[in-house]
Amino acid sequence: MVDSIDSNDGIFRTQNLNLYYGENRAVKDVSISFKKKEVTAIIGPSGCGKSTLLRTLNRMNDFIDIFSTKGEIFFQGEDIYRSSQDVADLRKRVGMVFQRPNPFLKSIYKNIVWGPQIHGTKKDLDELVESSLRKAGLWDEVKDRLNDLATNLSGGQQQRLCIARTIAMKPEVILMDEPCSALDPRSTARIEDLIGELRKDYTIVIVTHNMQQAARISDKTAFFYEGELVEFGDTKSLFTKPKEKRTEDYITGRFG
Amino acid sequence: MFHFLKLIMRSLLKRSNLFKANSIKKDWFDSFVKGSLGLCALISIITTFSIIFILGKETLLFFEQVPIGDFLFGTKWEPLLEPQSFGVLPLISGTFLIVIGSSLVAIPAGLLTSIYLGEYAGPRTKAIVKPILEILAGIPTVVYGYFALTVITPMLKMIFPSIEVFNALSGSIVVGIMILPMISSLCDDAMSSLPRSLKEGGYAMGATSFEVVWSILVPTALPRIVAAFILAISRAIGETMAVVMAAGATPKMTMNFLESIQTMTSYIVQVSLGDTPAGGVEYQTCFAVGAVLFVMTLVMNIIGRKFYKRFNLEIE
Repeated sequence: MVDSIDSNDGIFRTQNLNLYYGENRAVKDVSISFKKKEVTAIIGPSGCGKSTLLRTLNRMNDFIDIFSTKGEIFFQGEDIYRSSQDVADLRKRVGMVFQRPNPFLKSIYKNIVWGPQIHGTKKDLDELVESSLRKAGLWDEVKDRLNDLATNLSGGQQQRLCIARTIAMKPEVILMDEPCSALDPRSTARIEDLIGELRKDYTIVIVTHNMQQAARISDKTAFFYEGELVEFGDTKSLFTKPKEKRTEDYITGRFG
Repeated sequence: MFHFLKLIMRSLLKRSNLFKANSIKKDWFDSFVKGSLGLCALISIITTFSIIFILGKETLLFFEQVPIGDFLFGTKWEPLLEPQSFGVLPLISGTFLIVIGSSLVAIPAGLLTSIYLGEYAGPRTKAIVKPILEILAGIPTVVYGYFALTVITPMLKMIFPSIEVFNALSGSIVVGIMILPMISSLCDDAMSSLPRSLKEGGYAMGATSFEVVWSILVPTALPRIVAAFILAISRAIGETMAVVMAAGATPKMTMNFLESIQTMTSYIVQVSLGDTPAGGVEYQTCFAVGAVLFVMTLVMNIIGRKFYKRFNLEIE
């Protein structure tokens, strides 16, 4: 059912993970492993638990009072829900890009340096801003107006700025929660190209409802349905020769 | 009350259904409803304009007898004593003393309360604190005045033995407590109206609550927070009963919080309750002071609204 992957190789690994909102079990008994410097796409219909799983990896679900977990999640071999886990440090190492671009009401420059600064970086901020914006493919568009408000950029530019802001933290993993769902096709294409560039340096886990997108950009794909991990494997084989009936039905558009 | 309204609405709806058969009657009913609703709206407009008209008329009559310069820049306010003097500055300074004092109490406390409730307090604490704040906002101001006189002033007397029975400090503190719920609830609205994703963006970068609040939420909501301050200050300017009872009725140019002062509103109360004959210049002082008060509050409210609108433009 699930491809046999050497479970110790993953930068993130879950073991019989169950996620609950109150009594409601949103993710059921999932064991999955995300490999270093690979792009893993999580697909599935709305409400299948894909975003819930993603937001558990950097413990963003901590803000939901009724949320609870059962099972284990290891990041670099350590359980992120152990009591000694420094959540701020985890989130520094596991960056996140959200559905809607959410730049701060600050200048482009300050948006980039804000994260590093709260973690104590004081030197070489100019270089950091330039290299992060270059990696996010935004440098040429904004280099002359770094002091302008970031909120005045177009939606696609804002999203690339949010990626640059995440890169500036030098994370090990970047989580993306449907990063293109609020963007037009051209901006979407640019973000997809960017993900292609970023895969050289970062581990990326991306949730998407767009199957073509998953097929284009990811190395591995996980298909979730009603909280269960139905199928997980190489993107190519999952889309061309799905092993599960439900996967086949979903990717051929029979439901979802 | 609400139930009663619902009943009326239901019977109105029924009647409009009955009229459906006859479209002329229905048109008549619609225009009747429209007309009576418009009349209700008209009442508040008429009231506003008649207040402005009377205020303006009496103020102009006042300035026929007292030069406007003497009024605006005079430093002695003794309209009820011979020889009369009509310098409004002592009343303005008294008002400012209360505004400054109460702002020093209410602005930090109100902002911090809203931040605590928004970012730190658990659901149970919120369920207790929020209704308490609402009760605080609903207490009649005369009760606050009584509280100042019988509780705050005696306590202050222990710290400052030289304090007068009526003093600006006690008035400031009590007005501060009165406007605190307003500031905290408006600041709370300001920050909770920000997109959730903004806060999440901060936390997702490993920021602490402190960093998210002071470096993201407060700066982003700042125009609306400032608007909250201004609206609250304009309430403090207009506050009457508590100030009369706590700060007394001594028009005086002073910056000493331990002395008795008089604000514009407390002067108006003094004259209204006294036996000043209608039509005399003493009587008209009331309107002149009222006009100053009106202009000040109006300006504050306009500035407050401007800030509020700017915020909405930036966020959309």
